[in-house]
Amino acid sequence: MSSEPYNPAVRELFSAPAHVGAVDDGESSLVVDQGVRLQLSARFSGGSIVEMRFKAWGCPHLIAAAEWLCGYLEGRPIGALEDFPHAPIMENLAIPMEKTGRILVLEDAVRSLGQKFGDGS
Amino acid sequence: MDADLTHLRELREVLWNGIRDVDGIMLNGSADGFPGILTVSVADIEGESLLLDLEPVCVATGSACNSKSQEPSYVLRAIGRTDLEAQSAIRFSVGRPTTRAEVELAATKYRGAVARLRAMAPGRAA
Repeated sequence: MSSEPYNPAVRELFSAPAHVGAVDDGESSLVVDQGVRLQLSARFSGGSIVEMRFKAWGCPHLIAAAEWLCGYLEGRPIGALEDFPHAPIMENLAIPMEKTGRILVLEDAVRSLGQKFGDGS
Repeated sequence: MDADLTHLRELREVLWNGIRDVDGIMLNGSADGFPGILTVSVADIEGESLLLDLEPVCVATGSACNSKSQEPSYVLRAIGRTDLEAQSAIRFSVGRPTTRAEVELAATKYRGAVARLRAMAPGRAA
């Protein structure tokens, strides 16, 4: 059994995230839970998520997952915010079971963002 | 042995001087402690991410006596560090074969990692 805690995908996403930041003229959500802080922000246009950014204080798995998620959701319909890709994240990033809570924080932030858009529509 | 201790003290001083002006950095323990070890904490940095971002520099988290535990070091807590400060603690160790260039690299990597992780955190400007 490998003792390597991070798979290559986590290392790559953690070391070179392309979606760090905040969208100035969009919606944002902030979740503080499970010992981490996560902010997601997005800009929507024409029924699609045109830009998505994150800021995170947490472990490499959380940061990698946030980066992966932003890349996944950009360009998708707004409705994608309601269908959190839990299994792909867990599988692609080989998230250890003890860090499942951090992924749930990510899911909470996504759903919160989706609710804000729904409130503003 | 005296030559070894002198070597360690010099390296430790180079390392500490290279990072001492990082905003919020705290030296854990005495400046006159064992010269082969430098343990520092920095405010509001997540320890596991800091550890990964320091690669390829080999460091350890927390105090030596707590190196295999995920809990904040009881030693660091005993000297007044909060749980958050304790979990961000990094222990640099230098030895006879350590070179000045390696120490300077470690300082550069540490400064870069702290800056990058701070920029990534909510509440800090990107």
